[in-house]
Amino acid sequence: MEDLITHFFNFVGHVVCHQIPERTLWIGGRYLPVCSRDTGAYLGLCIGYLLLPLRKKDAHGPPNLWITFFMVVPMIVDAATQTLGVRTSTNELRLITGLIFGVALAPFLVYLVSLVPLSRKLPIVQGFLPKSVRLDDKEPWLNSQSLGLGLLMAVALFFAINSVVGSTSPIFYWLLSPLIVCSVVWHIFLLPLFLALSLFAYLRTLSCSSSSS
Amino acid sequence: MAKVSKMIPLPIGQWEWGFLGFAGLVCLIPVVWFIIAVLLCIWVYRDAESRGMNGAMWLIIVIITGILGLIVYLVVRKDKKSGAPPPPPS
Repeated sequence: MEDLITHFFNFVGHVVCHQIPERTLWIGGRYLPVCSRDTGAYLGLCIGYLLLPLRKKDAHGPPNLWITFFMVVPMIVDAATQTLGVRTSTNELRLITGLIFGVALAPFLVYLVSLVPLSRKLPIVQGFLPKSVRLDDKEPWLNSQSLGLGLLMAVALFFAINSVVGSTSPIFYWLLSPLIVCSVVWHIFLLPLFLALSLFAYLRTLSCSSSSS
Repeated sequence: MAKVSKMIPLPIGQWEWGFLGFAGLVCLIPVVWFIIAVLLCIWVYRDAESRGMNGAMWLIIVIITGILGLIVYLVVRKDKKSGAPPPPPS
């Protein structure tokens, strides 16, 4: 049964990741379903969702965009420079940059998802969305302190994961892998549909307003 | 004989249909992401033009850099021009 679940995890991971063994973390006698950078990104997204209770319920502006930008950039620079052959990254660097990327991206994605008309009807999700979306609003829906807390949580998780890499205790594998797979399924299978719907709806309102004027 | 029996196609059962459905969904992912990217680029172009910015330049930036370009665009974009001038004081 364990092998069957592990095969399923690896199958889902294979859809989104190269799974190169040298770049994948070995925990609990198995490789994680995705590489270290993706592990960081998908777990970081989960941490990012934990920041949502700190949101300002009456604010309508996007999460602090400058901080989001500076948290997203390191992973992109790390991945881009490696892809271009300028340098070779390490698993530690891939993991930490991925975690920070995910933490910053999650509130931004939630903010974008709130544009989807369907999201207002979902029972649990609607409670976490901003009441209305105003991209020009200066008051951020999630402030810089909350993103800073997310950064600290990402660093703490990095040290926690780094300390169990190479361990033979399977409990760490079973703690991390289901979370990663759930995150992959949500962000790769379900969220694109939400975002596509949101942009369609927004463009439709734009074309309606331009034709009426 | 064993080789011949391997060549006989097996009837597709419930599990196989489920797997095919999942594989179909997997094939749809790049299509959905492509549609999102195209719609995003259209939105950035139109929004930039409506604010008196260079829409084509921002379109190219977002095509190349993806979500990073979108965040940069949201940071640096100008305030929207007001449509009509305010009425003169009476």
